[in-house]
Amino acid sequence: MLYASYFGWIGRIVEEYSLQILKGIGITLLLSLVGTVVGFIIACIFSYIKTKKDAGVICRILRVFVNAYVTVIRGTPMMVQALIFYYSFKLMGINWDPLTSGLFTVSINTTAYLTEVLRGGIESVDNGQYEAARSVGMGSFQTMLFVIYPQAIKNSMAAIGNEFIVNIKDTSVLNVIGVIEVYNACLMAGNKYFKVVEAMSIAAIIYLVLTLTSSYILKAIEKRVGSPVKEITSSN
Amino acid sequence: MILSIKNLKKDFGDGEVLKDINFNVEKGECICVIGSSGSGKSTMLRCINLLETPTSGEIIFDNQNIKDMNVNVLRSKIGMVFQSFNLFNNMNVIKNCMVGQIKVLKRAKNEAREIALKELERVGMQDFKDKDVKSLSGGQKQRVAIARALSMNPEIMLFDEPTSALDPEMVGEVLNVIKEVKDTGMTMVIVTHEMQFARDVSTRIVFMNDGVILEDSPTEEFFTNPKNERTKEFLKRYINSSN
Repeated sequence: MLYASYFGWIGRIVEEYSLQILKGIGITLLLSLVGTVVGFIIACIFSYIKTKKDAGVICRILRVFVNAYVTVIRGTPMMVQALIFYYSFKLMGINWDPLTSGLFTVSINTTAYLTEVLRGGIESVDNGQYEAARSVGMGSFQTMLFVIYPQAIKNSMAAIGNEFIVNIKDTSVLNVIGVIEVYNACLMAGNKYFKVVEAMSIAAIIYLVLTLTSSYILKAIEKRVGSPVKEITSSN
Repeated sequence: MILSIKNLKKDFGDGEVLKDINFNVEKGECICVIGSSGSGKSTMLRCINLLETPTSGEIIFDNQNIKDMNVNVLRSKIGMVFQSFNLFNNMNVIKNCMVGQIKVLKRAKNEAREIALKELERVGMQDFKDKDVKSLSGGQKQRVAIARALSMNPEIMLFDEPTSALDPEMVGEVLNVIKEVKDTGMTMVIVTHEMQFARDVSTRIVFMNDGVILEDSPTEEFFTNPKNERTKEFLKRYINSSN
């Protein structure tokens, strides 16, 4: 009875490891949430550096750094980044636990992606908005803060939400440094009885529920915030 | 003299858009700048509040070379109205008129609100104060844009083809508002293609062609007795098209 044993094993694993699996869900959500929020905040600064008009010398130097950062982080797997950060910090004498290191990695990673998302959002705001703000005497920073970013973020809401959902799934790679999130918790549970398929089925269902619920909530938020701001060039 | 432009030149790449522009604006004057498209009218206007950086020449505003002024202070004293309105999409009507006052002039919120309301009333948009700017018609948007500029209590107003993006039936309401603003004694420079309006509202006409000012004369003289051949030609075409 293959099916009976398949579901039977799933039931047994869930029963026996429910606490660890629940903890794993908590860790996965923590990683995704912190990663997206911290990544978003830093990305706001980085996208400002990337898109600032009439940039001075300092800004242009910072821009080189930001561009390099985005290229390197987006061009390498998060798993590799996690291992490099985790062990290089340890070599430098910073003894951090896997979770802290994981939070750091996912934040660093998300920053790079959201920097590009926000850059796109900023560039989608009509240049007339910028000129109008400058023409009433607002400085470059005020213009970005009060006029451009509110619109750019609104335009980017879907992509930012998507990044959160991607994070839920992609943080599974952090098992390489020993973070016990959903994937790792399920794997450890399954390993006791050498039941990988059953354990991963549990993980898959959990991920599916998490991503579907998140995308449902994000859609509701998007709706409340309103449809993306787009200047209609017609006179009406 | 509130504004004086001397030997103003502006290049874009290898194209010379403005070649030696000279003219003065006295307080209370209303100057219409006319000329065919590509003659440099808008560029000249945009040089005045440094939305474009002049290649060479001097612009003196309030007895100060604008090069020596803080650019944000300069702009806060110069109201600008754009062809495409450029209302802040993330704010409602009254906030559009308040944000500059609060963030640039550091006025208190209540004071800013009062002034914004007064200016919205002046352009007939007070009933729309809490409306989303996206829900407005083109004419209404431009009236709000004028109120936004007036809320800063500028010393001079610049209009960059304020009716060019409007449906024909909305041109009138915007021109009327501009006329009313002029009647309060506001100094204005208006780039426009509306010849009849220019004739009605302005005290002086500046005619530009190919980056130079060909004619700068009192309005009636300009229309009845143009000196330059190119101006005559331009006016002939205008008269023909309006008949």
